[in-house]
Amino acid sequence: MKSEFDKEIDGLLRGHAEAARRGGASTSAAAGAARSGNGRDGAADSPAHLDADELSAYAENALPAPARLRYAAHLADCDNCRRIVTRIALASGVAGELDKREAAAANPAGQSVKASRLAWLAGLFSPRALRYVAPVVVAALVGVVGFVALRQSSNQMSLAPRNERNETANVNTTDVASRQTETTTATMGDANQNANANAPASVPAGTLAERAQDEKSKAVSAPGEMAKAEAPSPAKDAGGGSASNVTSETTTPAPPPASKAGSPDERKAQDDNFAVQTAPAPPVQSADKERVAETEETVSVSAANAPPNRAAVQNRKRSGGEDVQSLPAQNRAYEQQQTARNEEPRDEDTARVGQQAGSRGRSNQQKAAPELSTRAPRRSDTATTGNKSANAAPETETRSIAGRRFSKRNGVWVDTAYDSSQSPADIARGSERFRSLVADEPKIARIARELEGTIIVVWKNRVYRIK
Amino acid sequence: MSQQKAANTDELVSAGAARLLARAGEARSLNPSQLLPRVRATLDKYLLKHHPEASGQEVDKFLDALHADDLVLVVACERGDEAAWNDLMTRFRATVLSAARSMSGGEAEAEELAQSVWAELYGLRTRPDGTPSGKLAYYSGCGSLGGWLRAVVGQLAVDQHRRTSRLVQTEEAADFDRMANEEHQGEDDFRVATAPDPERAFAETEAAHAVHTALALALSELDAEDRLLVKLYYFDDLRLREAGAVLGVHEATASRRLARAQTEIRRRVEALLVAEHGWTRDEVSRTLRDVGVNLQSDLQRILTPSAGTVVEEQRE
Repeated sequence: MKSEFDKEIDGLLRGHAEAARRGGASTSAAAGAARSGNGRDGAADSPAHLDADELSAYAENALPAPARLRYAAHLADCDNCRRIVTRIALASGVAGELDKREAAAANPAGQSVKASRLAWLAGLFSPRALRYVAPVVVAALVGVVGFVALRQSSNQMSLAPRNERNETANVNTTDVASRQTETTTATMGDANQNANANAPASVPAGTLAERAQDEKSKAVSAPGEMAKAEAPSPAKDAGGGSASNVTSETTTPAPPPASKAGSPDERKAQDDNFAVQTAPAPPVQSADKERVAETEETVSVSAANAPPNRAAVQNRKRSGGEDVQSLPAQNRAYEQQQTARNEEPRDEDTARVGQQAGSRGRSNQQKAAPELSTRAPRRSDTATTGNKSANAAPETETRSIAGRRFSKRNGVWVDTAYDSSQSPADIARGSERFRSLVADEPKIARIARELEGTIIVVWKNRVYRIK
Repeated sequence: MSQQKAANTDELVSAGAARLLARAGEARSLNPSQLLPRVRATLDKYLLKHHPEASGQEVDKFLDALHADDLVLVVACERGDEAAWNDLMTRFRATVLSAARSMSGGEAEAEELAQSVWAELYGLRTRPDGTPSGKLAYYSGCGSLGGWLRAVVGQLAVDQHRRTSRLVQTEEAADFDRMANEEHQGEDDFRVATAPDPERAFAETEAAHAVHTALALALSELDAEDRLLVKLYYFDDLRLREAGAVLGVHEATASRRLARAQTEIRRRVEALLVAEHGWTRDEVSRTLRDVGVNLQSDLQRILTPSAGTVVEEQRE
């Protein structure tokens, strides 16, 4: 603002005023006196002075414009009256009022729209700070719904919503079913943390699930049985193949046959893994995040689990950029699913995800993937074998790190690719051999770091037992 | 026509007074007719006097903006309502004292001033025939009662100063006088510029004088509000925000207005210098620049403790 000033004139005026103040009555006062008859000092004697009422009314900006102008003329030339008016104006905080008025005037249209929206949101969230968060949340929800709608059109996976799974205490009396219930419970617990997002999300999820099932039936039956662990029982019942198909379609166009082979088992296994995994997942996530970056886990994970949490995920990401770290398992599963679906162009997802920048979103999703107990092996060869072994031990914990899946058995983390026909080479952490191994294979270092105790890992056709 | 208008105005005032009483927090046993004369006087003073052709809508708007609570309180005080007086003193004791402090040198002086104000308000509140007298009668309700009381304190303070000293100076002027008298007796190094030779100093003094005169004249020709703004900002040394507040505008508006005023001043000063002294435009520009530079260095000297009072020459 002041940059518009004529600096030279500004300086001259300052000097002029200074001279006038220090007794230069001949300069300013003379001219002033010519106008109003008031010198610096003549205020009291002039009948033109403003009375207390006029002074205060002027100072408080309470006068209609014509009166204002007349009084301004006197005030310009009468130092005493001007002083009084100044004191009153400053004492009554007029400047603050003007600021408010200016702000309102500067944005009248936007103000009203925004005001109504904010007022509504304010009704929901009393703290003022939330006013700024609430619109973000609303936008997030809208984005989520839209995203979900988009997804389900391309998403072939069975999107059995958690709701369905929850309510149908499942169909299966198998372990899988019970595990699913566990999963559901666990994830529900987590999901409740994002009640906001979940609530609306579950609604579309339900519809999506139905559509997914339709799509499933359309999907290629045989191939792509990437286990969708989260496939809800109904979906499963509907046909494991189709369920898997949906998954596989979303993951990769050409899932390897191996993964197809064990479809029902795979699904179960993945369910199982997923189920069990969800509970312990959250705490691990933060640690895993780093590892995730290196992980190639793709996630043909339970799209089914995803939908209700999708909103939560989106929401959370939008609102706080909290990232994957605090996601409940199902959200993570969804992340993985997303990762799986678009390995290349993750932008769609990340864009949806909001706060993450595109590239970051990608890495996040990658990060997300492993955290969650992925049941979704990368359509790698290990899938099948892994599934089988995993399936054999229903209550087993499973982790996926660096592209390998490990199940904990008897306190030992066993690579799902391992079978007992192989004899592992023992390597102690911190040993020379270990160091040279991890120098060549840093991913093993990650595995060794993240899994406690003894680990049996299959790496490049060799088996190591790390202790 | 005018009679009808007058009748219309009366109706508007009656209705406005009734509305005012209704919106006051406490009616204090008053009825609208008791407020009528006051309201009518206010309307005349601030609206109709300057804008006789005000529409009914404008009248209503003006009346509805009056400070109802304050006006009712004051009228009740004038009618001898002791409870109202107690309320007045309780509510505004602090305001009056704070205003007194800002106009006085010390706490004792401030308290004395405050006491005088209350005495003036209370002691003269009614004439023997019961009609209101004294300062309270001058409260119109247009501004707030607190603001009005501050103005009363201010005016009383000025009156008292005037009684005790013939010259009312601003604080800054008093300070500079003191500095000039105490610190620089015997020094004769005051000069307008750092020019060593007297001839050049004289020429510079002449130029400065010419510029100052032109400035004063240009200022006097400004619009009232522009001039007021210049006075507030340069003479009273207010910040732009504060100067805007006095004018009733936001700081940004004040800034723009001031910039426009500067342009206007420049135009006028240059024209005056050319007309008065026959200078060319170049000479005018150079003179302005030089005087500006000198003034800056003058100001610096003035504002540092051991500075000479450089602008002595400018005193007449």
